[in-house]
Amino acid sequence: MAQYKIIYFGIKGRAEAFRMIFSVADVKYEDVIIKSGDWPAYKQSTPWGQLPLLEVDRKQLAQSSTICRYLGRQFNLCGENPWESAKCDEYVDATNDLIEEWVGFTFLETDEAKKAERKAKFIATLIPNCFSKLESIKEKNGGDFLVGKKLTWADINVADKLQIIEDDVDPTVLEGYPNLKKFKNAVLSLPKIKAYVEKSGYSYKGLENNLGE
Amino acid sequence: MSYKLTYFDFKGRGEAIRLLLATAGVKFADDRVKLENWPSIKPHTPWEMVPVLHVGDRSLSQSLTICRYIARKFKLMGANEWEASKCDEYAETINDLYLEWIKFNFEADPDKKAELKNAFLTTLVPKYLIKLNTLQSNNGGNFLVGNTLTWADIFVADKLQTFEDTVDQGVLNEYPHLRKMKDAVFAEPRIKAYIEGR
Repeated sequence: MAQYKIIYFGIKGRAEAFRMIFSVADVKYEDVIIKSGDWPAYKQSTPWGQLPLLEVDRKQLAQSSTICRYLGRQFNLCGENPWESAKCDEYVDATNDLIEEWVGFTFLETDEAKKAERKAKFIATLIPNCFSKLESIKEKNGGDFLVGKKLTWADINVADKLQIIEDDVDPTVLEGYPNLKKFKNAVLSLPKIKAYVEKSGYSYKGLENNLGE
Repeated sequence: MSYKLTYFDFKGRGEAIRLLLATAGVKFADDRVKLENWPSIKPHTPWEMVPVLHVGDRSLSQSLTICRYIARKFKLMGANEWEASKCDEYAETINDLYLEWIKFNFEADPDKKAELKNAFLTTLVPKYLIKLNTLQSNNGGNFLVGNTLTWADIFVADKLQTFEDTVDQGVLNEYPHLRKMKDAVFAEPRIKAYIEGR
């Protein structure tokens, strides 16, 4: 069995989806936490000056979507055929833009007026644009999942993003999207994922400054 | 199986896909949308965005997803799953730099644009390309991953060419291994033929 390590900060952030994938797959990993004070020195030794990293038998992989997809493939959580795998990619990519904007105004934007403006636009325009399409995709697919009939890494990745937005932006954000709400709850209440989340105690925030960069 | 790529009539996020389809030897309909027609076409796309790849009667969106789908189907993603993930990692990394380029390229205010250009060249380009240049050098040969051409080479070469064409002809001067990789990609017979026939 390969030796896995997740190297990240002590928050949910960009590593939470990986941790949930490991929990569903029932695969052990070492959760290496870099403290924010240690980051400036540690940064130099990382491939791209960023976290998270996945270490597999001492080889490192970077880029959170890449890592998620790799784990999805390794643990058979990537759809039943190439088209379904591509649909996993598509839905993750489509929701990445939304999360990147959330990261932008939440952690990177220093101008308070601009921050408020971006958040307002996020709620009024970006969320509805993305969620309405995802809602219709979920509705058409039937069942509990976004792609095909089985759980994929895309379900975990997207459910995590929906939870972030619900927790940090608007607790009622999924009210207009019943299929997405049902989907998110279904994924996050899968026994192994639920057990992991209850045990982990990480939150979505908790770093003093923009350390994801 | 019929392939149609719907994208604007410029390189942007569509060109890497066109180059990849050409490399794979796949005939495709190059459905180029004029900007003035975009408002009427937009609502009919799955995410109100292009590129969209139509494969038979199904469609796929998101440029990296499309690249990866073609690459997997036509064996342009390395020799094993680890190499496939390295393709992903490098493509996503250069995509981050490309997103920064977009901010510069579409800035209307000339003063702000000059400022963004400076930041791009002095901070962002080195941040990404020093490491990528070293990776290419360490990998040996002409390619970024393993021993054969992958979609990562094509994707990265396309973006580097864009930076050369639109920001500074000399942007790769300090990254000789990346220049070598880019030249190798554009010298690939099918890519050369596609560009000459464009």
